[in-house]
Amino acid sequence: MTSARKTLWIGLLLTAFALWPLLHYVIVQRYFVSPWRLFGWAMYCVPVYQPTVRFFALEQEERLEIPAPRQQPDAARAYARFVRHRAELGTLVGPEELGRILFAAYPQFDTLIVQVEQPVYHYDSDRIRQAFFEHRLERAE
Amino acid sequence: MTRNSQTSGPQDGPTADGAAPGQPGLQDRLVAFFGRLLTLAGDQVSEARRLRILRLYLMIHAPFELLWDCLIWETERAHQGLLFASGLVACLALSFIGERTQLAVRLFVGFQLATILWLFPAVSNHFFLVFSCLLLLSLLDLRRPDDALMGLQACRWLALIVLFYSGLQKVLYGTYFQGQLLAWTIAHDGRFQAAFGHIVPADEMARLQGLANTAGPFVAEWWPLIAISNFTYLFELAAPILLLYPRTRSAAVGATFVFLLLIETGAREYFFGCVFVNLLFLFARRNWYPMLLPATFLIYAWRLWPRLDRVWEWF
Repeated sequence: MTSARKTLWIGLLLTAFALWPLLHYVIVQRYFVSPWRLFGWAMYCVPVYQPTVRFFALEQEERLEIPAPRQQPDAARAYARFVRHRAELGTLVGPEELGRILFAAYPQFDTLIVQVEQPVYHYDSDRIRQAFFEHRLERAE
Repeated sequence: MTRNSQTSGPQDGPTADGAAPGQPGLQDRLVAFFGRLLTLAGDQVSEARRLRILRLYLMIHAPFELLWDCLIWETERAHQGLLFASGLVACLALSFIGERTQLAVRLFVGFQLATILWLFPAVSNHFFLVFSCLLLLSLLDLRRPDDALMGLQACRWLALIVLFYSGLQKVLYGTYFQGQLLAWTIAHDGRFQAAFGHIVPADEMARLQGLANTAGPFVAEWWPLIAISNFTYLFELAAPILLLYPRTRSAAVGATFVFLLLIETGAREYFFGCVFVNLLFLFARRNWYPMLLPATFLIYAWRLWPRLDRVWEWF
């Protein structure tokens, strides 16, 4: 590789490193991604909290809370992975994989709701507020 | 008399990126621009020699950190992690054989990328910083003085980008103006309670600790704490400029080193601290690595010691 080509590659890589944190900021704001992750150099910028996940079955439009699938090892792993990834990647992570396991564990229900309760730092009041996200899952035919 | 506008013989056609003949193309202009930008970070070939030491350190750091993580993971994940660490160590060993250093560094970077994909999204930022440095260095042959200089400049720029954005992100998130993040951290984190317990008055400390597991508001009331909070991002924004300017460079290295030491008394992010301090000393006029590296590895040994018991559980 020529010296000019090396300069070009190094310059382009450094430009990418320099621009990524700005894009990272936008992604964090939009998708509730943890600022500590994904190399945006935003460690120690906001408090870190784990989300809480609850499950509901929908029966004739009535919500019935069902326990988290922790009995079988596969289900427990999928549940733990979802909670972990949700804390790190925010709403970029959906509960589809977990949904398949839930539908297998609860064959009597066709509609399930996964509710994620995420503590979020509220900039205006400097307080921690709960943000709720809901995913409605329908059993595939 | 007629004038023939046609000329015979070879002509300059448009360049590959569409520039007029005789004019520098986009690629040439980019190369010139990046060249000037890199030169801002220093132009002393004599300073570039220490880059090989830094590269060796980073190639030791990456598998060590992975091994350190393996020691707290459950067995199956730890075994997978050890495979990646073994690949990294094999590349490190290859780098000592004859003329294969550059190939070894490129393979090492490939293994690091595979490790990052395997760990994703739980990849620490400093692991990515080590990867980024080695990725830049993998493009260069550090035996050649001009390549070594370019590597030095690139790694210095990388350190500046990280330092600058650490400050800018604090401003963008807005949690340092009233000491909000510091208040939350002191309320919840024993490391910060220990570090700030010596300087924060007892009543303010008790108030902040009382905020633990509440909804807040998380705001510091003791003004020196607010001043410390604001100083943090101001320093992180100013230090890169002082490190770039040759006249203030040496003083800025010292000041940034002290700043990092103070941060580590609370944060205790030792791996990030060690990696960054080693990068920072690329800016120093003197070669500090003969002192810096033994100190770094002493810290690593101290970190590793309490986890060594776990090794026996693997067998």
